[in-house]
Amino acid sequence: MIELRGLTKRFGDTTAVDDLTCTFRPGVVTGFLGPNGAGKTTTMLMTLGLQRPTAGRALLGGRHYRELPVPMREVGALLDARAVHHSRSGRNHLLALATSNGLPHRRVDEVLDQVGLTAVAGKAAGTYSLGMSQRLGIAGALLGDPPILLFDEPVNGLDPSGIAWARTLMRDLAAEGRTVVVSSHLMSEMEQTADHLVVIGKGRLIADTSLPDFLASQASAGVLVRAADAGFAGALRAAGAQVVAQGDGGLLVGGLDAYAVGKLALVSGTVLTELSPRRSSLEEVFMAMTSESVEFSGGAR
Amino acid sequence: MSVVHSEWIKLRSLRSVVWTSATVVALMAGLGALFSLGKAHELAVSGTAADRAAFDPTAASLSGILLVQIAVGVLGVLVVTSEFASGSIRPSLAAVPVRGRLLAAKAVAVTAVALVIGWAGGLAAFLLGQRVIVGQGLAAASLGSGAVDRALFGAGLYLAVTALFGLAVGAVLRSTAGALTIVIVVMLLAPIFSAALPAAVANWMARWWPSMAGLRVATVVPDPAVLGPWAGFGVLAGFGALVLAGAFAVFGRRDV
Repeated sequence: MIELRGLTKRFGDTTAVDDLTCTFRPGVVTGFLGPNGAGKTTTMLMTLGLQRPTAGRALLGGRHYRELPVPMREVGALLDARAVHHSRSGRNHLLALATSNGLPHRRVDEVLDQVGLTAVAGKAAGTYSLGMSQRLGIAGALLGDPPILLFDEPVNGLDPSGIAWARTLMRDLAAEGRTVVVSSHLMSEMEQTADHLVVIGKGRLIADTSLPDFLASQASAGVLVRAADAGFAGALRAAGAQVVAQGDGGLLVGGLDAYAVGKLALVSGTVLTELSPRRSSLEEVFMAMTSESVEFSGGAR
Repeated sequence: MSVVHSEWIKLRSLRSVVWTSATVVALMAGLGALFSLGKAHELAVSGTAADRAAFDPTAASLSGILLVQIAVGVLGVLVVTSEFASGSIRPSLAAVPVRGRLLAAKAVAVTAVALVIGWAGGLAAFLLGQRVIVGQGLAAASLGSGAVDRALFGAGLYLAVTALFGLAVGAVLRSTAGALTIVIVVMLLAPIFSAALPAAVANWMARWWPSMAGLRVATVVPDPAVLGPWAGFGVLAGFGALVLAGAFAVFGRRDV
């Protein structure tokens, strides 16, 4: 369990993280979402004691990171996968990390096997592809078999099979009762991985909710209707619906659900060629929520 | 202790460190022989009795330390700055969140390497150098006399402080280029250019400048114009301790 309490970080005039309070629970994958520059990485760095909060605190199982006696047994983190000395082999990188926390050296071979890097473990880390580097970073996080795991953009650079692998791994880790936090700016990824979402924008908490609730709260996208009779739009409006004509002849109907629209078509003797409830995708919901908090918007050109 | 072991793994797992260390030992021996030959030949050909009396065969054979110290200082710098350059300082500090413990472990590991380089290179340089000096018909120094053994021991200590100085500057500046510049200026260039300064300044520097004073520990023949071996080394060690204390303070507090 990770608890953030009023966590704040300012760099000069810029507020990177602004009074963030939320809890990351065990047993679920929590998607930590936000556009680039929203403060996700800064939040993780403060949680790991690498940056000092301007105010507030981050507690891991009730303790500050720096108070953990054997940190890698308590928390595993993947930050920047490329942050490895380029001429050191992957195995030696992990060996140095494991040794620093007094972890048995067999753990190095175990995690190398777990992430599928055994064959290239003796090669210099600088020769790894981005995907292999991500796997090495994940291996480092798993070394101490910790109950809390933080992954900052872990699927960045992975190929489709790698992404599927990472997704399964995260879900398995959570199913074992661990606290798993996965940051991303890719909403599509979260839709299939996360159970719970913490969304931030400009350092502020925007949402802290389960994935279905998150979608439901924003699911006002309406019903898409195509009718053979052009006059059906009038009938819908008469029934109290908001109707927006789409360019291709479809009607986007708000205020009536699919059942009500179907019934109205029956009554008015209109043939419907399409009747589909439109659920917003996570991507759309996210864009709508964070559009006001995007750090670098396009602006007027 | 496990953190020291971890830093040791980091050092020995870089081929560049292994090769540089071996090269530096060979360089120190080779330069020792060369400097001994130059100095001894000059004395044999045109030296006065006073020149010969002031000749320090031990110091002559160890003078390769002037160049070797740069390689060792670079090693000290890189132990810290390479972690900042690659970004691996974050996983390193996530693994060892007590900052001082990580820096201390790095200090211990790099000190060990510097001592080994200094002692192995110094002994090889001494043995080769003395053979060369005897070959020129001059009296050579021999192991077992207290002052000679102290000078050889001191050569390792001098390089250890040099490495720690590099590590400290690296921890404060975090950039390889900046830290290297400072190490080279303090350890090598300032002593060289002091000769061109007004006599009063040059004499003061010969006595008190940390690297010049520190080098006295690797000499045998006393020189009343400068500090004694341990007093001189004390100046260098005190200076190094001061910079290192500053590095611990800064490294412990700063965001990474």
